[in-house]
Amino acid sequence: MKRLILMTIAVLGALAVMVLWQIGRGPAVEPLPINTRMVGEFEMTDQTGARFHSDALRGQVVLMFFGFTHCPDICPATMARMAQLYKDLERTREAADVQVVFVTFDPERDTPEYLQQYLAWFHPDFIGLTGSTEDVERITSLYSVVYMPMGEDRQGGTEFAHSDFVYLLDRETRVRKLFPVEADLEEIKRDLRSLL
Amino acid sequence: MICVRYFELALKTVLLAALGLPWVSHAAAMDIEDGWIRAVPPVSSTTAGYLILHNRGDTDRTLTAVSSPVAGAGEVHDMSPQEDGTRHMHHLPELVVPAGDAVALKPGGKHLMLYQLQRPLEIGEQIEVCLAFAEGEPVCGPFEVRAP
Ligand SMILES: [Cu+2]
Repeated sequence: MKRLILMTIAVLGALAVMVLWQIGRGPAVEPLPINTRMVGEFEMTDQTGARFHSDALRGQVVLMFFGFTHCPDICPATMARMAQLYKDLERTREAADVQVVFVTFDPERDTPEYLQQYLAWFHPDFIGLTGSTEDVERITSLYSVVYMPMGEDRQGGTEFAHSDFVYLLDRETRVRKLFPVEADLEEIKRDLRSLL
Repeated sequence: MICVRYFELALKTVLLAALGLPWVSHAAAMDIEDGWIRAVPPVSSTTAGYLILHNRGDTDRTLTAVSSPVAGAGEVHDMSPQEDGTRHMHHLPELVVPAGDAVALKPGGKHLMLYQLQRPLEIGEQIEVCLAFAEGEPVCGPFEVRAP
């Protein structure tokens, strides 16, 4: 009987130690869920004019943003924030495996040459993707991007209403998280680092 | 002595009424706080401007037009969320600034739109922007070009 009590105490003690050790480690970091809906390949034209297949992004952790360069408010603000984040990662030598990609849904005005000049101002490492109307329709439906032409602006160009999320893709080009454009840069950095 | 004091006071009152009050109720009625313009890549011909517009007068004022020496055209815009979660920018022909009140134009919302930029804008430089109203004189002020 005495042995049974001692064994029970020993087992309970061991359990307590295990529980305390787990608590001591803090909350376990949950891996970001894999989006199983936004799956597929795409092909576009990059800012150098070359064809660009989604496979080229394999091995990189990607931040992808959809917009049009004639948008004066959200788009440049978001690209500037991406540049800020990327420069932070350069300082900590984590940028080598990170790629920022801007995808336009206004290929008529956002030609490769235009994208090249536009994006280089934010950061020369950024990739810009444009293409035919079909290319744009394919990639936007793949990532459920909503955009709608809303008529002409003062310069005769198209105005768009659009959803604005920053997409985080892992090294296998799987979508792991969507951030609202105003999301905290530290939150994006933390999630991005979990994929590096 | 008392007589002189009263005379001085009366004189001051008359002077204020003659010079000060009309100036206060017209020219200084509208004032621009923290005006700035978003720097954009040199290849861009469009940008946005932001400010807080104070109406210190006693009548409502309606902002109707925007102009700047660096832009071929200007408009007041608003950003409205659509039912599908997208946001849409559109021309706001009239923006009322109620008497004694202020309206903030800020990123993601109402903004000044500058089209046909004549030259690239440098971060840190001051750009003159003029605001025209349905009633009264236009108001101009320096807007600082800031990093996007
Ligand atoms: Cu606008």
